[in-house]
Amino acid sequence: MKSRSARILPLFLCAGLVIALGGEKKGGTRYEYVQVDRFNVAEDVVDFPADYQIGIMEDLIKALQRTKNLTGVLREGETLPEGKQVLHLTGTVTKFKKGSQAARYLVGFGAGATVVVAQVRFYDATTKQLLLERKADGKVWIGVMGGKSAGATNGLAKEIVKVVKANFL
Amino acid sequence: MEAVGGIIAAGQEAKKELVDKQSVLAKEGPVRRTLVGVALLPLLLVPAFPAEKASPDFRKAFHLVGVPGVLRDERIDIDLAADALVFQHKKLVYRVPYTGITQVLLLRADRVYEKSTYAAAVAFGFPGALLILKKHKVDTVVVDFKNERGGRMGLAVQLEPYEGQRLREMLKGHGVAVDEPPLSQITDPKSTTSLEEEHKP
Repeated sequence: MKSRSARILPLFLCAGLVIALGGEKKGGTRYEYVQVDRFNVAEDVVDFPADYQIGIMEDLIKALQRTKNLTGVLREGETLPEGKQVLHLTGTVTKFKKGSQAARYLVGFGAGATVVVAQVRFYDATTKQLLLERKADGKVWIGVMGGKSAGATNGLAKEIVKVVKANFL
Repeated sequence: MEAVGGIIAAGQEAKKELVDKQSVLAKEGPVRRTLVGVALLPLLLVPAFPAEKASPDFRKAFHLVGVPGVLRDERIDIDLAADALVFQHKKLVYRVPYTGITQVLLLRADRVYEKSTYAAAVAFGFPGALLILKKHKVDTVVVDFKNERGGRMGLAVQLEPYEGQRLREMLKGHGVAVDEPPLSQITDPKSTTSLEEEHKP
């Protein structure tokens, strides 16, 4: 019995060490605040609705506010809190497929999907250093009555929050 | 003493006149009194002080995004107060001061009849579901503004067709300019067109 517990204990210690090392974030800095800029739209994306542009920002801010380890979310133009670590988030919409709710509802099988793809950049707000650049996307291809096309911005926001959680919180 | 006597005489005269009027009313019977009462009744319903504006300027607009606590596609009332654009949804009131507004865009867009389609699909099956192909023309208003901390914010609502023109005129009255982007800059040339473009002869 004694020898069995002696064998298990090192295993637990090793597992704890792995979890501790794995939990360390890239760059080693944990950010308390995130400042979100309104996403730009690439020149070749001509049919991106103006309300979607606001939708991305609002959905992203809502999703970040729901994140547990974050003290606050700031908007573009708001004063940064002094002495705090602030992550600056910017992005550009690089691809947009409008899709069709009618096609999603009546045809299905992925037809009429709405797609929003954005190139997202994460900076340290104090040093202006680029920390990470990722491609994120939001899609609507199924839902009640085919799903609302505007839900793509919510999907994009959720994906960006996943990246923030995995790398900076 | 003479003056006091004069006042007493005048009082007695007035009392006599009142008694005469009462007797005339009594002679004319209850029908006339009832008619007079009915005619005066609306006066009782008029409030003693000026009431607040009865209804908002734009009723039942569709909220797309930006008003906190209101979901997408929920109905929202818009009122142009003296100092702010006021959005109301049930008990929620959200004010955007005119001084904080940086840009207002007015666009033409389409909506689908989602709830009606659902009801039709339940009632008539697949033929009813075809109602989703029917589009509903709306005016989309996108408002860019700054909050009290200088942060960039925005909201978008959809109004019934041509209500956007009325909103533009009313906003102009409050010193807020409304932009209508040229067709080349408009989001979707197929479904969203400039109002100015559409109104050209």
